[in-house]
Amino acid sequence: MKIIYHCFGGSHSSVTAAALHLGLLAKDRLPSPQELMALPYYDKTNNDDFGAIHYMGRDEQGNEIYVLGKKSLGNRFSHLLMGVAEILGKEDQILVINVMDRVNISMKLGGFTSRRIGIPVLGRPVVIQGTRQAFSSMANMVEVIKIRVLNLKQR
Amino acid sequence: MNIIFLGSTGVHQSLLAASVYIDPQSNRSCQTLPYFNDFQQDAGGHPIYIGRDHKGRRIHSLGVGSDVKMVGKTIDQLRIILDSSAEELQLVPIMIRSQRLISWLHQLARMSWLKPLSSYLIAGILNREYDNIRRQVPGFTDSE
Repeated sequence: MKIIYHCFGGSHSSVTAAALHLGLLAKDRLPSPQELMALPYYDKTNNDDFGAIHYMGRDEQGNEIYVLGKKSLGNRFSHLLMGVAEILGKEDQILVINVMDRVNISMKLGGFTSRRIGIPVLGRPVVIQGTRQAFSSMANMVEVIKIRVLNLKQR
Repeated sequence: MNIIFLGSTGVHQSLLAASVYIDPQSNRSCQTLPYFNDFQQDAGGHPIYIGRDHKGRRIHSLGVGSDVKMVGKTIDQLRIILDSSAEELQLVPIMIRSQRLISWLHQLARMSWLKPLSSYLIAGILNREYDNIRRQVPGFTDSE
């Protein structure tokens, strides 16, 4: 199965969720700023990355994990991608997860300052702080997704 | 084989383009098209099946918001990830100057008592953009 985590920029929350899914971050311990910055794509994307589906890795069940930035398209984007997969007859091979509801104000402000305005020296500490604040919520979401994927596969 | 017409909404310019593609002789009045200015249908975000063309290909209309190019890129990459060939899915972006205005007027269709006004105004805009939309439909040229 292909699992796509998506958020506004595909740079912070979706990358953190994908890293949790892949075990690149431990779910029971707050990651350090260095650990977050070591993740692929974390606070490293630019405008050309909007709409690009980036491969993050393969989980222990063999599922392929991807991240995607979709600007402000919201949950509609999940339906859109699932609808296209359905047209191709492959809706059972894909799961699309919107991570935006786990994003806090620090992540929005810091992410905007770092990636959109292009002042990482100001935005990065704020978005990292925000990611750490939202970490347990994202870890919880990913655990639920993993259970959902297992259930889907057992059907 | 599927063809998806992409527009900022799925119930206006892309719907008209898909209908013109299926039936080039169709009436240019879009108000009679199924799903025209249907707020609920568009809000779902799913591709809307319109019909089949003369080669039996399935034709869809899809609303993707203001950045049609970005979503086109995503769908193309999704197709590759899902191991589908380019022949299985063709994307036709339909972009017009007044797409923001149409999206705004479309919001009026949320309220049933304003929908007739919304439909009337959008139909007028699409009528003005008709030639531009037709030019973006595969198989059509300026001279047709």
